[in-house]
Amino acid sequence: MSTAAVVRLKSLQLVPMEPQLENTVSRLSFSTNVEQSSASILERIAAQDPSSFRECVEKYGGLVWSLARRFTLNHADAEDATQEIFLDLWQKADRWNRSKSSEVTFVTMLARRKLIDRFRKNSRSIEWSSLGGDPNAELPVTSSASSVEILDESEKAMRCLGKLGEKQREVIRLSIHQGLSHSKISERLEMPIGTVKTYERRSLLELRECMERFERMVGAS
Amino acid sequence: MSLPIDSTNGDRFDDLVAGFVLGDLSFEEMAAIESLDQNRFATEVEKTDLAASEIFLTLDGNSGEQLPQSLRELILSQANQG
Repeated sequence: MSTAAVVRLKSLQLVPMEPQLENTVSRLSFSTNVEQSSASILERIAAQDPSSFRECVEKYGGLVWSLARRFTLNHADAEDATQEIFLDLWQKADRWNRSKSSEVTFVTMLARRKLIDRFRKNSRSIEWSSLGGDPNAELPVTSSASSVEILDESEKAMRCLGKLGEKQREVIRLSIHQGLSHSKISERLEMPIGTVKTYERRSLLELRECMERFERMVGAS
Repeated sequence: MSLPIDSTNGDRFDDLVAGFVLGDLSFEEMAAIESLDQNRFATEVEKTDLAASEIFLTLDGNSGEQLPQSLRELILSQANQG
């Protein structure tokens, strides 16, 4: 396997990387362009702008906390997870690439990896959260700093989820929202593991295509 | 661990991407698959990871929850310590 491929894949893994590899990944992947006008919070964190840390916590603290609360069993776990996610964010902010994702999606991606990693390590079950459960439900509007971005991304995701068949949607929710493994989903739904994998594969592909269509529509308008 | 894979089989390839993104396939298991096109795999994983993250974002439901003040201060003090 080529070194570049190893580095890219390792950077996407859900487990911590060796420090040496971590440094290499920071240099090679997710290049940013801090020279662009109106540098984002993540670009400023990457450039070690001291005020950016506070801004980041103000803007994304509620989101990260909310996700951590839903993916952990108790308050203490949620606090630990939130700290780990922000530490990760300080260290990996330079990997964000504005041409590939929105800032809020990148923050959510790091949060998801960390929370799944913790969840799988603890091998514990979490309670089903009904938040975001109905793909056709109206999303609440709040006054948080990043609410508009979250609303945009969530609406897109909810619409795409709504286009999946019922069983596909159930499998993808158990997998992404609850962090269950293939085998756990198979048990829960009394479905052969091969079918679970097929649903996951098809669902992820359909969701990706749907979201890319949305992006193209937004780009064209 | 060595998994049987036909790199020309699109479904198998996509299964691996999904498994990796959803945490069911470890890096070690993936690395053991010698016939896999790793560059293409990395590209597909990256795109799929972003899509999965957007779905994960709906878990928040734009709840408007606030970070507890004490935790906020703790995180900021850690950031200031470098």
